[in-house]
Amino acid sequence: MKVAELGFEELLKTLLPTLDGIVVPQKLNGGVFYTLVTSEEKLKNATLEPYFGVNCANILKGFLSGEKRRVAAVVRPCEARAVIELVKLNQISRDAVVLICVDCEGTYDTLELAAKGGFENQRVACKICERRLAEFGDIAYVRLGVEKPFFVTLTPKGEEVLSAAGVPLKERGVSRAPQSLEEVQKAKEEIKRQLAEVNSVEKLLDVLRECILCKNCRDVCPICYCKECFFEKPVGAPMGDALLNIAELRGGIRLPANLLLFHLVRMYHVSVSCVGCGACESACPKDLPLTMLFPVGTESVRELFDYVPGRDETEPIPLLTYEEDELEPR
Amino acid sequence: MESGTGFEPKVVGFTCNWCTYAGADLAGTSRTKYPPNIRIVRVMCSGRIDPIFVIKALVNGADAVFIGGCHPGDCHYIQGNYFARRRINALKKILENFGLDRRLRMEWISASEGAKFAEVMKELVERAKTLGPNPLREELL
Ligand code: SF4
Ligand code: SF4
Repeated sequence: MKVAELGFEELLKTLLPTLDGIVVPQKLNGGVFYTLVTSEEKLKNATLEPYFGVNCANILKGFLSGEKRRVAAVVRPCEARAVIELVKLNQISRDAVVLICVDCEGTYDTLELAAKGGFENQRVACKICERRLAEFGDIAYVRLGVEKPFFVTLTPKGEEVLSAAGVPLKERGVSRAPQSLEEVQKAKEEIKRQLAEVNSVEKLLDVLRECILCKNCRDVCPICYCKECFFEKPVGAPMGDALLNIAELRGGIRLPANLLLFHLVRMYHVSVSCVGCGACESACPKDLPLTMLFPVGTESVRELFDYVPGRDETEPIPLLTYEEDELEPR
Repeated sequence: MESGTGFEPKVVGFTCNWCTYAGADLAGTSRTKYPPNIRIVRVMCSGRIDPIFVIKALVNGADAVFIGGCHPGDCHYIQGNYFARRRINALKKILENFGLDRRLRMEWISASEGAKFAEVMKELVERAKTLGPNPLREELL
């Protein structure tokens, strides 16, 4: 581990000339959103204010060129973990992206900033997040529980990028207290309790009652990456005669069709890799409690395979591997 | 058919071509008795069974879903059943939240295990009867 002691903006400015671009949140026009910057001119308002609009990994999908064109991305731990999952799923080239992971104090909806300009309701996903420290990616920006923030290299690539930019590095150990989990666990227990009450499909339908199947939750999800989603194809999104045929079979159907199928399939699809960023819940126009379903409702799947998405870049995604002697039936 | 409530569960089965389908066939040709509630969809390998098939069957009102494949080591495609096992175990965990997992059963049944196929069908239909009709059958979905 090598440590670099310089300010956040200073680091970005030093790195920019050695890379093809930097993806970083900026505070602009009264809002906070991600920007992709290639010139220092446009890098004036970089911010680490705790707002969450979309998961950065979703933006980085398609950066596939490898080292030839490399960008750095300033991300929170859940975003770094999502990037690593997407690398495993061949949606991002690991070489194309230098991950600068920042300690996260928990985030607020960007809407809150627009409406009130302040921090009031921390996002549910953050309230229950057990991985707020910058431990994933190439370079960590350590700023919680330390007097003066600093950068630490996490991978050889991180070190190489910093040295190439001429950032002075010091070899030194970093020890710091782990995240305190008491509040987080309490909040999580509460969501688990709520989920336990949804113990039948009828109750699940109640929870999803207001869903209009806009599929925003899917579109903003970093882990939902299929280019051709089942729910955009004729079987998943029946129209016209196909709809009538299904209605005839069942005597009648609810519209838009496939509400329950959509959510159950999405739960299955994201189950192993869901990073719990809560982007889905934040994007839902009907304010549905999606964090209760993803990640809380899918946690048992990750526990089954002892898998933490994005924890280890070399660990295969559980559904893409197996052991001969495991699980039931044997 | 003898059943107290008169409720006859509908079971959808997905079985692999090489083992369980042949096992079911053997049960038939050797005239082994088993409840006729299952409708089998033959797929080439248990690894071909996308969990979406299972979810769709349940959402459409199936009272139980059965998945059959070759025993470990016997898969015609070497490893399809191992992947299937991971997928179905993951799916079960999700269905567990909503009490649907008990309507799903996976078994390895070889081409020579006609009797096992019949036995598993008996058990599954019994369990479906205990659970009662899939509540989603009545929902406007
Ligand atoms: S399902 Fe929701 S919480 Fe999980 S990774 Fe996708 S957007 Fe984030
Ligand atoms: S974002 Fe909300 S309303 Fe839209 S499909 Fe997802 S759950 Fe339904």
